[in-house]
Amino acid sequence: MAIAGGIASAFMLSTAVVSADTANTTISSVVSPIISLFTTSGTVNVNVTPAAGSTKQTIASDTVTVSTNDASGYALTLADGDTNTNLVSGGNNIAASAGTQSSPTTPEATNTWGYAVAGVGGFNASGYGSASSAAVSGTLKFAGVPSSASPNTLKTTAGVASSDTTTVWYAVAVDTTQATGTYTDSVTYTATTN
Amino acid sequence: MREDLKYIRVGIVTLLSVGVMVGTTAIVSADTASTTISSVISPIISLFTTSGTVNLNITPAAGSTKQTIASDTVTVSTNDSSGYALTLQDGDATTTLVSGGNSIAASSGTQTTPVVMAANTWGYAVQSLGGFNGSGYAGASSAAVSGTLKFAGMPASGSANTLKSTSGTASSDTTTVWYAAAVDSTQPSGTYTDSVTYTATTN
Repeated sequence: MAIAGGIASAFMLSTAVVSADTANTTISSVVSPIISLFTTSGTVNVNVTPAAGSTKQTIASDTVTVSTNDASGYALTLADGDTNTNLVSGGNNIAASAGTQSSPTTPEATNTWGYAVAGVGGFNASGYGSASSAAVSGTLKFAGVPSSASPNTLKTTAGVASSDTTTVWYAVAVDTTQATGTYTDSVTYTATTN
Repeated sequence: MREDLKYIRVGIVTLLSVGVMVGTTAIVSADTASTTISSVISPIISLFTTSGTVNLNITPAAGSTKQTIASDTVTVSTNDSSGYALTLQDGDATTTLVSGGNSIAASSGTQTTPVVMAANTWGYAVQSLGGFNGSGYAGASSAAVSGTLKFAGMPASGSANTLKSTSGTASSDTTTVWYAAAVDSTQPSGTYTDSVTYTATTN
């Protein structure tokens, strides 16, 4: 009996021994933020036909489209492509508006050009409908495009964006004293993840 | 007279001694006893993994789905002559990779019927097991989704999948488990994680 009891105890001991082991592994995936930006066509034509005795203004728009998977969103800025903020045609210029984003001017002064984003800073909330060689609006406000080193922030978001659009309006106002020609300048949009 | 009695006493004692010696030799011839030496060697098993974390980092690209594949190595040792079974399951009932309020879903494939990775999913594979490919699971970082490599979704805890069954002792027996995540540019950025559990049990 004593021997049988001893064997039974031995089997019980075997059953009690843990015969399994576990390990946990963490699966981690860092999905990096990416962002893309494109504009409507690469060129905004703001052509004006002056008229004697008045200042004519043309307004046209550019659409900036941004997509990002950054859960913190993005910031969109605008600046001139360089430190010369004039529209240039050979030796002739159309000066940048004296207005700023926080304090844009109205009406747009003669022989100047500027930009506006509805609802941003001191710009009008609406009314920037395209116009060609129309009389200068007495109410719509524009600002000069800042130099390349001092971009203005047009939009700040707080989440992912899928083809999020921002409409930027450009205006040129000239009278008959402005020399004819094709005046150009390059502006730069930058979208940066937060 | 006293001397005589002394000799007689010695003679009696001698006779009795002889009688005892004769009697013992005649009654007991041999005796044995057996003892069994018993040693129960209990089965033990150990399991460890490569590093505790498998990194599947991805840089998405506009217009395509990118996939990253990385491996984990599970090492098992046991003295059990019947071998062991290795299983894999999620650490809980949530089988997605999670980053705050965002998630990457588990693949819709199963171990028996795995699938090519769909966008914004993750999965696992063990080469040549079940319906998985026989080769090709080399690590890749932000590469285009393979059109041939198949993966399965991680089963929830309580529904473990068996990755291997052996039939003998094992000394540092390794199993390579491949993991993949595939995302496109719509997947919010962040660090997505989940915990999986390997269990090795003696047979």
